[in-house]
Amino acid sequence: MIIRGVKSISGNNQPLFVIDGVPIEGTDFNSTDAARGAGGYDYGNLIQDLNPDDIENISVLKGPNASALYGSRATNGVVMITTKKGKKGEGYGVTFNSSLGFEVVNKMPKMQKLYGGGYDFEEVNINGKDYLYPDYATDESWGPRYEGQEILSWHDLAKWEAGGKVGNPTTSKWQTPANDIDSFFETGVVYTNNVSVAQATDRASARISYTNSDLKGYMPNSSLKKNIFNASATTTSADKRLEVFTNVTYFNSAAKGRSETGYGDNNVMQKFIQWGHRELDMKDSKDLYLMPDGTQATWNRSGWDDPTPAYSNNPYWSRYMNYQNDSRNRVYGNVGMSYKITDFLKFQYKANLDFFVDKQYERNAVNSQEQSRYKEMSRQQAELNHEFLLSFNKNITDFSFNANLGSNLMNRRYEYVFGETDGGLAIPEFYNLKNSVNPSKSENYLRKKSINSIFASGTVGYKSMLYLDLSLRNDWSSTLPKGNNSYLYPSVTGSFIFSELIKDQMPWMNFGKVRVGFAQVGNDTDPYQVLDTYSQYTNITTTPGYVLANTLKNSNLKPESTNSYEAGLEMSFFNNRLGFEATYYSSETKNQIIPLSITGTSGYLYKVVNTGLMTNKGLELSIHGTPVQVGDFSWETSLVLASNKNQVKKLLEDVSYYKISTAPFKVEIGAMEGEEYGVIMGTNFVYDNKGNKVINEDGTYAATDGNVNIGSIYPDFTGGWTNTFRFKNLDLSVLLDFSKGGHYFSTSYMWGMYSGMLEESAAINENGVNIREAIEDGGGVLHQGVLADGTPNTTRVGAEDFGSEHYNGPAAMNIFKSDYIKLREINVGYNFPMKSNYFVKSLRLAAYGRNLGVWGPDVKHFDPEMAITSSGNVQGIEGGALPSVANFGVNVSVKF
Amino acid sequence: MKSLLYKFLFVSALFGAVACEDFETVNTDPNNPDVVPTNMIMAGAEKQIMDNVYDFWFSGRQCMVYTQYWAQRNYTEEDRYQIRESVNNNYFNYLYQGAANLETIIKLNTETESAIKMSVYGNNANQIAAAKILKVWLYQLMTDTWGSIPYTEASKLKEGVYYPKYDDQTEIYKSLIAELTSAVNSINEDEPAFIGGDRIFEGDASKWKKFGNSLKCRLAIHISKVDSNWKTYIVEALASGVFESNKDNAVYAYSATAPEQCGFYIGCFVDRRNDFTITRTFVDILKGQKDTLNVKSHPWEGVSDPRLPLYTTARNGKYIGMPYGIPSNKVASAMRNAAPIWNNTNYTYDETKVPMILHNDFTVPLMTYSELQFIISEYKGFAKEEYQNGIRASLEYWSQLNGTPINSESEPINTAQANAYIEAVSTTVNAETVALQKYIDLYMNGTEAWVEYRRTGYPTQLLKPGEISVVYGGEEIPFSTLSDTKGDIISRVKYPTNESTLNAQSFVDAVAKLQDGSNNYYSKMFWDVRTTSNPHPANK
Repeated sequence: MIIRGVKSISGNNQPLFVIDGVPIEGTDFNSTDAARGAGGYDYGNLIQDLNPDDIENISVLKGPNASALYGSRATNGVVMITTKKGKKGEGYGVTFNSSLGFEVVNKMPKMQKLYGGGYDFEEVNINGKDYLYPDYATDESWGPRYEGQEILSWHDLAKWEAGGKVGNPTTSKWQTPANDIDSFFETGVVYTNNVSVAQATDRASARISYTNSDLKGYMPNSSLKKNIFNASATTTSADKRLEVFTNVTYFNSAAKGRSETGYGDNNVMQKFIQWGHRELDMKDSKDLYLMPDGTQATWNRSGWDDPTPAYSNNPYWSRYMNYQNDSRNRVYGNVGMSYKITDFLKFQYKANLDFFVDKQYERNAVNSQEQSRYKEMSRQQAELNHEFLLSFNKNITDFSFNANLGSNLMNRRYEYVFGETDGGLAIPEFYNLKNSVNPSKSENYLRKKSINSIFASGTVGYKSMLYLDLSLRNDWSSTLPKGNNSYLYPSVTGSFIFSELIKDQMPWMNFGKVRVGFAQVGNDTDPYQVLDTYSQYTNITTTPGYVLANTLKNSNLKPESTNSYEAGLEMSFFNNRLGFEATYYSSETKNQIIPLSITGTSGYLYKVVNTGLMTNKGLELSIHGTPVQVGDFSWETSLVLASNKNQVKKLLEDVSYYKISTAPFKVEIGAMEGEEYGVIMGTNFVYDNKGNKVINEDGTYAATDGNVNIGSIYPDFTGGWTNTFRFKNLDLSVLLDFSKGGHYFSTSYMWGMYSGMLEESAAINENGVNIREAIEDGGGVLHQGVLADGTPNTTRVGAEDFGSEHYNGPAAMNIFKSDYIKLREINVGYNFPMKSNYFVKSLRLAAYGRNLGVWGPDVKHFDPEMAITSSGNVQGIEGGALPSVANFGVNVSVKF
Repeated sequence: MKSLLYKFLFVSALFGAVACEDFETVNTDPNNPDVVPTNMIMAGAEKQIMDNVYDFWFSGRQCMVYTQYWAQRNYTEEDRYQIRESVNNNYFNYLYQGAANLETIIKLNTETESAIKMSVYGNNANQIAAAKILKVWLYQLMTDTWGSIPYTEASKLKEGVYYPKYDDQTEIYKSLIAELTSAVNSINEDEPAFIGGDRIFEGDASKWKKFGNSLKCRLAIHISKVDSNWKTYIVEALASGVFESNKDNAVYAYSATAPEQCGFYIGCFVDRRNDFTITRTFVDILKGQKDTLNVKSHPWEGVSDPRLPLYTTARNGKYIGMPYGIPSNKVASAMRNAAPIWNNTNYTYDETKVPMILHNDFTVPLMTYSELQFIISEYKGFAKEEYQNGIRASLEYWSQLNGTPINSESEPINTAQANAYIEAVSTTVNAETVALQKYIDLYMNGTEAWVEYRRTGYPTQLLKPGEISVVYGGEEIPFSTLSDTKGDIISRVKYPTNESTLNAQSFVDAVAKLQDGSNNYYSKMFWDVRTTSNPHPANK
C-alpha cells in the first residue's frame, strides 16, 4: 500500500497502521526471493491480522499531520483505524454476522492448444512392440502437432509400472487434453461468523466480539482458519475525572498449503505456464501421482524406463506432498488511564503492545524432483510503546486553544530461529528435524530497536473558522550513531473555513475550506547499519571460517529528513448534494540512508550511505455527489483520483544509479537519477532514427548492448469510482478502480514463449500458415523492421527461434503495461424494515462479487495486480504469478 | 500548574531511563562478530574462493565446457558461448570479494596494533606471504578469464575508492610476478604460516613457498612469447624452491560432512540437476581414437589412457561421450542415453557408481607437481625427462585421488600399465605432445587448460566452430556458436553488465581497449599471439 508516492529509495515505503492508538507492524516477512519473483512463500502482510468486523472507522492521514503525531514511522502516511466500542443502544447490543463466500479462478494466460510437448517422438520397443514415446525429459512444448496419434504416455507407463509391468502398457491419443490446466483449480469456500455484544451505562461500557473464519482455497489442499477475540472496556469514576480503558485483540490463524510464488520448484503456475507439456491431462495427473511403492509418478520422466523426475514434480504431488503450513498468534492492544486535572487540563498514560509469534513449517517430500527437506521457523516480535500525554483545552472568547505535550518510549524486539534438515530426509513422510540425513542446521537472529520521543502540538481556532496547527517533535533513535541520533522536526498547518464568512451571500455553498501546511519529518534506519561485522562462512576446519560481509557499514550516518508542503481545498454545495476535495502536495526527502550498490571490485557489494534527494509531487482529487434523489430512490456517486510524480533528483556524487533488486532473469529494478523511482532496467530494442526497429541479419531483433530504462513501475495516476443506488431498503453499489502508467516485466511470458506454451508461440502468420511450420513452407515469423544498413528485413525466423528470442533477445519483448480498469466490487444489500418494538433491531442481507473483471491494453494473459507478489519494494517483476481470483458471497447481519 | 508540568516530565524521563537499554548496546549486532582472528578469515577466504571457482557455474558452464572436457546434456547455451548475465555478474563479484578477504588478512598483519594481536595465529610475515600467494593465484585466474580488470585500485572501498580503474593485463602480470617474488623471499620457513584455518597447506610455510615459486613458473610460461624475461623468472623460482613431488601439490580437499561438500557434488546431488557429462572430444582423446568426422590426427593413436575410468564412469560398459556444442533442440535422447550418466540414474549417492569428480569430498587442484613438470619440460625445449615425470606424477595423483596407489597391482593403473603407457606416448616429445599430456592432466582445472589452449593452440583435437560434432539421423551437425568468436574457441568472457552501471567510466575505458572496441568474446589475452600463419606459437 503506497500513499502519495514512494519516498524512500530503499527503506520502508509502507504506511504505519495505528489501531486505537497502537502502532502495528505492517511489513511482511517474505524473503527477498519471494518479492523478486524467485520462489518462496508469500506469507502476506501482517496487516491481514485485522478483523474487519471490529472496525468502526478507517481514516488515512497523509502528509504533515500524520508524521507530527506519530513520528518518523509515519513518514509514509498513517492508516488510522478505530475499533467498535460499547455504546448505549437499544436491545441487548448483540450483533451477529454470518457470511458464505466462494472464490474461483477467473483469469489464466491464453495457452496454445495445437502442439504437444517435448521435441520429437522417440521410438521405443517394449516386449517386442513398438511405441511412440514423447520427449517428456524436455520441459518445453515444441512437439508434434495434435493429430490423434497413438502414443505411449507417461500415464500409460506409470500405470503399467504400478501394476508390476504385467502385460503391455496401454496407449493414449496425442491431442488437446479434456482436462487442461484450468481444471486443476477448485472452487474455494469460506465461512465467516462473527458475534459481538456491547453494553454501556453512564459510567462504563464494554464490548466483546468473536470472529471465526474457515476457508478452503481454490488451490488443491489449501485452507486458512482464523479466530479473533476482541474485548474493550472503559470505566469512569463517579466524578467523571478518572477514566480507565483497555482494548485487547487476540488473533489466531492457521493456514495450510499457501502457494509457492514466483520461480520456485513447487509453484504449479510455473509448471503450467512457463515450463511444461501442453498435452497433459489434469485428471491423469491427479489419478496417479503417488506410486504404490511411495515414489512419484510425474510426466517429466528422465526416460521411458526411468521415472526419476528431471525438473518438475507432478502438480498434485506439489500440492499434496510438498505443502507448507503456518500458525500465528498475536495479541495487540492497549491499557491506560486518563485523569482530568482541571476542566481544561487532562493527563493520559497509555501502554500499547503488539506481540506475535509466527511459526512456519515447510516440507519437501522424499521422491520429489528436489531434495527432500523439512524446515521449521519461529519468529517472535514484541513492540511496547509507553505514551504520556498532557492535553490542554480551553476556549477564550472567540478563540479555542488546545495543546498537547507528550512523550513516547518505543521498544521493539524481534527474534527468529529456524531449523532445517540437511542432505534430505531419511524416513519418508516423517517431518521432524531429527529425520535429517546429515545433522540438521539451525540459525538464530535477534534484532532490537528503540526510539524515544518528545512532542508538543497545538491548535488555535478563531470563531470555528480559522485554525492554526503547530507541532514539534524530537526523536532519539538507537539505530543511528551516537552524536547523530537525535532529530527535531516541526510542522505548521493553517486552515480557513471561508464558507462561514460568505454562507449568507451564497447559501448554495454549505462548506468551503482551504488548507495550507508544511511539515518536516526526520527518519532513522534499520538496526545494525553502523558497525562492520564479519559473516560466518564455513566450519570445514575446526577453525571456523569468516568472511567480510557484503555491505560496508557507516559510522557517520545522519538522519533522513523529508520536507513536505500541502495545499488543499474542500467544498460542498447544495446541501451536500455535490462536493469535492482537492489537495496538491510536494515533498522532498533527503539524506536518505540506503545500501548503495557498488562495483564488486571494491570488495563489497553495498555501502550504507546518506544520499539521495527524492521528490514526490501530486494531486489528489475526490468528487462526490448525489445526482438523483427522488422519493425513495437516490444515486450517489464518488470519484477519487490520485496522481503522483516521483523523481530521483540526486543519488550521490558520481553515482547516478541505484539497483533496488535483480529479477531472477534478464532485468533489474533500479532508481536512476533524473528519472522516476522504480524503473525496469533491461536490454531494449534498437531503433533507427526513423523509429524503426533494427533487425539482425538472422532475422531476430537487435538488442542494446547494456541495460537501459525500459519502463517505470509506478502508475501516473490511480483512482476509483463508486456508485451507490438506494431504493427504500435496497442498496446496490458498484466500484470500479483504475490505474494508468506503470509497467511490469513478465518472467512467465518470457519462459512461456521460450518453451512454446503460450498462444502466440503457435500463432497463424501473415501467410495464413502456423508459425511452427517450416519457413520454406511459409511458416515462421517476419519481424517488421530494418537491417543495420536501413533496408527492410526479409529474413523469417522459425517459431522456436522466435520463442528463444524472448530470453536471448531484448528484455523489452516481455514488458507489459500495468494499466487497468477493474470491476472491483458489486454489492447488493437489503435492510429488512424493523419496528422499534421488535426483538430484532436490524436485519440485513447482502450479496457481493469482487474482482469480477479487468480490462486494459495488456490483460490478455495476466491481471496486472497479480504481478505484485509481495508488498515490499520489489514490485514490477512478475515471476510465476498466481491466477486472478474472483470472490462471490452472501452475508446476513442481525442486531438485537 | 508549572509543578505539575515538571512532575510530568520527570515521571516520563524516569520511565525512559528505566525502560530502555543504552542505545549503543541496542544497536550492537548480536548476530555477527566485529573482530575475527586472521586464521578464521583465511579459512573463510580459502573456502569462499574454492566454492566459487569449482562449481557448476564458473567451472561447469564456463571453463570446463570451453575446454571441451564437459558438455551439457540438455540445455547447451553456455557450451555455445552464451553466458547468463546474472551468473557473470555474480561470479565476478564473488571472486573480488575473495580477493578483498585476502587483502584484509594482509592489512591486519601489517598495521602495528592488529599485527600484534594476529601474531598469535601465525608468523605475521608468513601470513602476509601466504595471503599474497593465494591472491596472485586468484587474480591470475580472473585476468586470464576476463582480460584487463581492476587490480591496483580494487578492494580499497574503506579508502574511498568507489570506481576502481581497469589495469592493463600486461601490468597485472608484472605486478603478480613481483608479488610472488617478494612473498617467497619474506617467508620464514621455521615459523608456521597459520595455526589452524589453512586447509590448503595446514599452515606449513615452506609449502607455501614452493607453491609461490611454482606459480611463478606458471605465470612465466604464460608470457613466454611476449616477455623476454620469462626464463629469468623460472630460474629464480627453481633456485628458491618449487614443488618436489605430489606431496607438495596445492589442492583443496572438501569434506563428506554437510554442508562442506564439494560444489560439483552439491550441484548434482543436493540441487538435483543432472546437466553434465563428458564430451566425445575428450573421450576420444583418452581412448586414443582420432577424429574421423573432421580428419584430425592423434599423436598416440590406439593407446588407451588409464585415467579414462578415473575421469568418468562408463555407461553399459562403454565410454561414449556427448557431442559438444550442438543446439539444444538437436540434442537427442539417444545421445544422452549413450553418454555416461553421472547421477547414478536417480541421484542415489553410491561412491562406487558415481564418478570421482562428483564425490562429496573431492579434492580440487590449484596447481600440481605434474603441471610444473610440463612447464619445465617446455622451458628446457620439450625435454623428455620432465615430460615423463609429469605423466607419471599425473597418473599417481589421479589414482591416489581414487584411493588406489599406482604401485599396487590393482586396476585401473598399476605399475606395469603406467610404464607401458608412458612408453607408448613418449615416441615424440614436442610442443604438441607436451601440450596434449598437460591437457589430459589438467582435467578439472578448467581455467589453466583453457589458458594453455589459447597460448599454444593445442590440443588440435578440440572442435572449432563449424567442425562436425556428430552425425545423427543422417545429418552432420556442427559445433555452432551463439556469439561471435571469429571461428575459434572463445577467447575471453565478456565483462559483466553490472560494471557498466556501477563502475561506468572504468568499464567504458576498458571496453574501448578491446579488439573492435566492443565487449566481445574474441578479443585476445595479451599473451595469446596465435595467428592464422602461426597457430602454434609454442612450437618454437
